[in-house]
Amino acid sequence: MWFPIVLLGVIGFAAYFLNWNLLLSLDFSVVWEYRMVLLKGLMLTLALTACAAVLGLFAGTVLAIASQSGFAPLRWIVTAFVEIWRNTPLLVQLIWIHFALPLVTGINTTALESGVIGITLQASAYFTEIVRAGIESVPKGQWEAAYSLALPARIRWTRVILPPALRTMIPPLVNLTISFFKGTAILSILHVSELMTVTNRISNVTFKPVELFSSIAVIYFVVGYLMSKGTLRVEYYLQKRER
Amino acid sequence: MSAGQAAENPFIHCRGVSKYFGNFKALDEISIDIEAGEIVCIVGPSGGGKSTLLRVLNALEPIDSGEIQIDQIKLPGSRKDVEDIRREVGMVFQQFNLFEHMSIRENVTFAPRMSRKMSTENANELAENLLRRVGIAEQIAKYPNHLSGGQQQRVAIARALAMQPKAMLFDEPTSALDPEMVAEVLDVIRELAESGMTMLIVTHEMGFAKEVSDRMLYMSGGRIIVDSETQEFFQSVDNSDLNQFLSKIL
Amino acid sequence: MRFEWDQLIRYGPELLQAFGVTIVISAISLIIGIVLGMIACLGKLSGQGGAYRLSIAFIDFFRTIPEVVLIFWVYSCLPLLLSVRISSEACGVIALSLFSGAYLAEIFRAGVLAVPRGQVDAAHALAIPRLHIWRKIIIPPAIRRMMPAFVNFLTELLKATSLLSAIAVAEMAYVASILGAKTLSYFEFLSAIAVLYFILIFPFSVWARRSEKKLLQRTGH
Repeated sequence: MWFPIVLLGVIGFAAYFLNWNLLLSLDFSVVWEYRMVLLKGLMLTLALTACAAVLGLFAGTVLAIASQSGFAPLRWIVTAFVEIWRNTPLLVQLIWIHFALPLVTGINTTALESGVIGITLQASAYFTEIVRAGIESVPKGQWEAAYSLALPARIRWTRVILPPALRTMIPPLVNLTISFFKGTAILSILHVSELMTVTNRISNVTFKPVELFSSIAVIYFVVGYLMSKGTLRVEYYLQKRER
Repeated sequence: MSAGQAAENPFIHCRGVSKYFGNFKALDEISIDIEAGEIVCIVGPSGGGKSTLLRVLNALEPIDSGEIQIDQIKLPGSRKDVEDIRREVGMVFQQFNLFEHMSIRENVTFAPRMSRKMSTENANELAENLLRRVGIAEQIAKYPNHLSGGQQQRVAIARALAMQPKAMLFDEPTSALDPEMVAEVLDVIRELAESGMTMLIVTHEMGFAKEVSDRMLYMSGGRIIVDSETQEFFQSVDNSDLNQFLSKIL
Repeated sequence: MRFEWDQLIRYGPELLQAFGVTIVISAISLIIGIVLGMIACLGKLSGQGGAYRLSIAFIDFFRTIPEVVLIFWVYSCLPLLLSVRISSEACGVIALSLFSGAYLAEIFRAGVLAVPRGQVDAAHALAIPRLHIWRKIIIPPAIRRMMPAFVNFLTELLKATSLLSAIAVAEMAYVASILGAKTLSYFEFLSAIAVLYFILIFPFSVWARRSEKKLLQRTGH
């Protein structure tokens, strides 16, 4: 009952305050004109996402296994790494790697290299947590059975512990990948030529920020939405297979 | 008063009540009258519609067709009708459903205060009386998770009684209890039965049902298959379904 | 290379002020986000009609687009569309509030849905009025159940404030970059703010994880 009234109020309010001259002169052809540039930007965004996901998952798995080690200092190092990268902003990590680190190491990295290093390291930290939770979700009896059968460590991990752990990990893994897809836009701070950066550049030349930023918001939304709908599919498939 | 015989103003009156969950027909054209003061036990296989019947009578589930009338109030009805019916009819759940973040005292006084606008003082006095009646007056300041299942269920009965209902619905009140706690809860219900309260009890405790009830219903597949006086129910009713059920459970 | 402590000490007050800006912007965005989140949460819980669809669209959209894009959109488009001047701080607050509202709506909703169905049934059976059911039966346990997720979100929000440096809001990351460029002591300033962020965020994330574990132990029977 109240909803139509509120909606009318909002519409009236918007109609009054909107700049109709600008709104009526919006020209989205600029998006089409620069489609190839935008597409290349999107490709780099997706490549960076894939890079963060694949390298991050690999490193995260190694670190998660290390975090189960009986050797305490190794566990401490893994924990420190994970906590540092999880509890500071990606943006700060990126500018630290790009501007501060070379002053110490003397090795200059390009913006793209710094971006890849930063997002991959942060991804590894987050993936470590997820893989660790997955490993810890495997019932103790499975471990004991593997030990009592005297299976070698490699077989124990690859055949007994990781397969069931992986199944519980898939939904958070996909969610995390989507959040790194969103995170790649932060690389625009270093002017890595992904979608956000190229949009900024086009906007600076064409002076059409409304058309451009609205369009890429939609592009990010559509790609991200498809990825998260894909997660539901994967979960559904896994549930079906378990029956 | 005998079963099936239509009196002028039955306390609970159902005509052609049906309830679906998706495609599953949980209640299939249920018609039944229950007089004030009657104690009715409902038995039958799980999934037969016993719990659904009770939930429908307390308007916890809307019905898809038919009509219910409780103490002259009709369902489906306005939100006020629904609340009026719930004030008249108390309900006790299988899983107790005590409010876990409230003390025992708050659990019992909450509804009279909020729903009947009783003063805190009066509600507290009422709660003490009721908790004494169900035999756990000394636990009044504790929280539900500090009590055993049997104690929790007795609190739940006191909580429902605090609304001073005219009828009580019991949905398998002892099924979630450890065996040694069943008796203490049944004792409370038995005492309530002797006080003349109208009651509908879904239960698997056949001995208890036989002892306490005036009338028995056997439900299966969303229908009332057998509806008869208690003595008759256990001795002379000849229904192959029921006989099979009883032979399994007795 | 020498670590230039004296640069840090010299510009310490400016860094601390930026630290304050980070906290104030987070706090304001969080408060507006809580209000937006509650509205969107109720809309989504209503399960049908216009309010429901609008809430879902709001939640899905602002959860899915990158925060940076949202910040830039508000900063470069909103003033044009409304033909008003909006300070970059206000733009930051608007963007972060929308982002918080969408995330918090889902967190609130999960909390409400985690309240066992039987509790609500019992309250209905006792003829307790709807407002009291919400206030006394649903919200208190819902808050307890969503606290870990809420605090975890707070860490995300604190991290997200660093993105406002892209639109020149004088929060920590921006001030550190400026000071770094001015003094060429990037390493000192950027490391200093990394430490500050860590000190700010780490306690919350430890608390969130601990309380989540406790909650699981208590309710996970």
